[in-house]
Amino acid sequence: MTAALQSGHSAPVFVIFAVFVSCALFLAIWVTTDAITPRDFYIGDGRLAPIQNGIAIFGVYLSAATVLGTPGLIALTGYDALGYLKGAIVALVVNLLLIAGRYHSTGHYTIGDRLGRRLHTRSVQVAGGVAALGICLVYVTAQMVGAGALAAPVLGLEGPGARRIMVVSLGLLLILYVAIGGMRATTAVQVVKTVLVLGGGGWLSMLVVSKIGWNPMLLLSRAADHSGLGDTFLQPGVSYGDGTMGKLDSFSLQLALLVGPAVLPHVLGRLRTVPTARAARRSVEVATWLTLAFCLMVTILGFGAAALLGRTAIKVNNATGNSAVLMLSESLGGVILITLISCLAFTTVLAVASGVILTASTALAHDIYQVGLMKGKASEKSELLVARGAVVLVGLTAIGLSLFAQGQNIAFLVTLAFAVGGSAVLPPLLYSMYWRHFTAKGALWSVYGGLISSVLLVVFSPALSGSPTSMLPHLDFAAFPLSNPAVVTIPLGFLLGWLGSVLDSREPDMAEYAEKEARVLADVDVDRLARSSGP
Amino acid sequence: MNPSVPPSRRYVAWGEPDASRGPDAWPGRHRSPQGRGRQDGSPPREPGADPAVAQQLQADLALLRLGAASRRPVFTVTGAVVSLYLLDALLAGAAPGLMAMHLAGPLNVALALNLLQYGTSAWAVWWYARYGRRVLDPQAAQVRAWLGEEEDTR
Repeated sequence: MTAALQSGHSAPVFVIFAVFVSCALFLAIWVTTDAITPRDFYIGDGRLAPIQNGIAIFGVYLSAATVLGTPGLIALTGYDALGYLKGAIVALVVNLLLIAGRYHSTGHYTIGDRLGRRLHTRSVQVAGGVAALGICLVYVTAQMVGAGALAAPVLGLEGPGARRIMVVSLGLLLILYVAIGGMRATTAVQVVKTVLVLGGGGWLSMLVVSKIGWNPMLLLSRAADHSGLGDTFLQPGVSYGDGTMGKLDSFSLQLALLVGPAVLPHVLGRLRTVPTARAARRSVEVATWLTLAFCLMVTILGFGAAALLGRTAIKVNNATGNSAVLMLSESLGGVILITLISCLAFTTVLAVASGVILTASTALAHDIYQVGLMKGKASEKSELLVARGAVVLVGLTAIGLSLFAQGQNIAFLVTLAFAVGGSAVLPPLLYSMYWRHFTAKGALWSVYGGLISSVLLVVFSPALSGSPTSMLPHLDFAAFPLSNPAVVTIPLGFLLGWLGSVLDSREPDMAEYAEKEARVLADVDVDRLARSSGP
Repeated sequence: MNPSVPPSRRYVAWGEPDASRGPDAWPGRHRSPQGRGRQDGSPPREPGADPAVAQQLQADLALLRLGAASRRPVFTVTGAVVSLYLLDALLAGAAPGLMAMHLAGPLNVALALNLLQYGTSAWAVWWYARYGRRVLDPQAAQVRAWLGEEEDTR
């Protein structure tokens, strides 16, 4: 069956994808106006409809790893992999209830803006920019490595050379696309991705369910039988065993999956593309409903793959389970469906990576260049130029890094991105929204403390060295026992934010906090109030 | 409406009164004729008689109500959803025997908790949308009306 996957269907996939790419580029040029401002480029002038933005948030939120990887992982490890889906849902719920509305009200373009404007400190804004840039760079590199892994099953091209061609061509396309079109173009591709993912995934899961006879219980018991693991397939513990460290590591991963996605910079960036805080809340609400539907679909696909194909067949085809969905669509739907699923995979990479690159370039051009280096005095034209340059810079760096990491186990990259998000972005964000004693020192401590501790603990973790499954199996400098540092770094980030604020000699400006809070609650523009109130 | 509230306390609804910023804590809106009157040395007027001050105090009360409404119930619901998630993650490591207990056919406690997680998440989203529509949005609109402001659409 792999022969059919590798050669038979690559031609239609390739043609359809080429047509899709040309349409995408045409769209990017078409939606871009001549007189584009940084505001246009970063947030599409903030004029999107909430439904459209919600669809796009779903599009940028779920990466190729979730769309293709998780069903495979469910087929291989059963219950344990369901944690990835639960994390994705609960993280969005947390974002919706605690963050979305308030982030819109006092945000501008970036996380750095959100923190810097509340605390009136340039260094805080730069810190926010550095954290966002770091998360985005790591995240987009992981996406590009994933894109290389798609070359074999989708295009039928084997070997490291094919992967490199795939990564470089897709990466250059991304750079061109984002640099020309900015937020409007990435929104377009994210909407297309959502339609393809929900349409294709929905069709495939309907086929699975009808094959089983519309009985979810039967689906579960067949999956357990054909997995070769019996009842343990539907119980926790298949992927991490009995050891205490394994359990702690798994809990740490669950924690990272909860808080990391809640504050992904490219999701927060999208919150500002709608006009009001109400619309921002509505967008995340739409995205959460879509994510719920999607996660149910992925559960069906994962257990369906185990039930219909068997765990061994999937493992033989690809040890990571990445091709499970492709195998399932081939056995159930034939050429049309596998072409659709392949297009969906490409579009997913394009949609997620373009959103992340755009967010990284926004952080670099706005927080670090405009506010940090130029003290807010750079002209709009030069900021826009730097933003486009930053797209090229970030894109090329991600391509370079992913070529280096091609074919290696890069699970630690996403772990790192989530750990940094949870420990360097979430604490200052929540403190700045809900705690009036929060100060600039607290913000700097939690951002840099969370960032540095996450990076150090991941570098010295078994994910990078010292075990057969690490990225560098031949070296051993692992000193920290857990692959997922979140259980340590997230409390540390909150602790540092609190400690820095308490030890800050400067008093927090309570009256200012009250003003900002009033503005957030009533969703009115306090800056405008201040301007119009002169004597 | 308590006319004895000193001006410096008025707009610092959530913090302690900030003496250094004085009556300018909330930019602009409260500069009623009364304030200027006192600068001229003329006797202070009864604040309750001033429609601008009355309106401002109305807005303050509405803001206070909205501040409370935007925190407590929302924190409670978020806490419930997150606690269930963490409980699930803890039980998977600490009590695998309990998680493996069969409930009906292939459905065990672990899978049932998983379903429950989907259910509570969906409920939280539905609840918050309704809560926003029925409580938060009307109250915010009321505050904006008192302040004579438009919804921010920057």
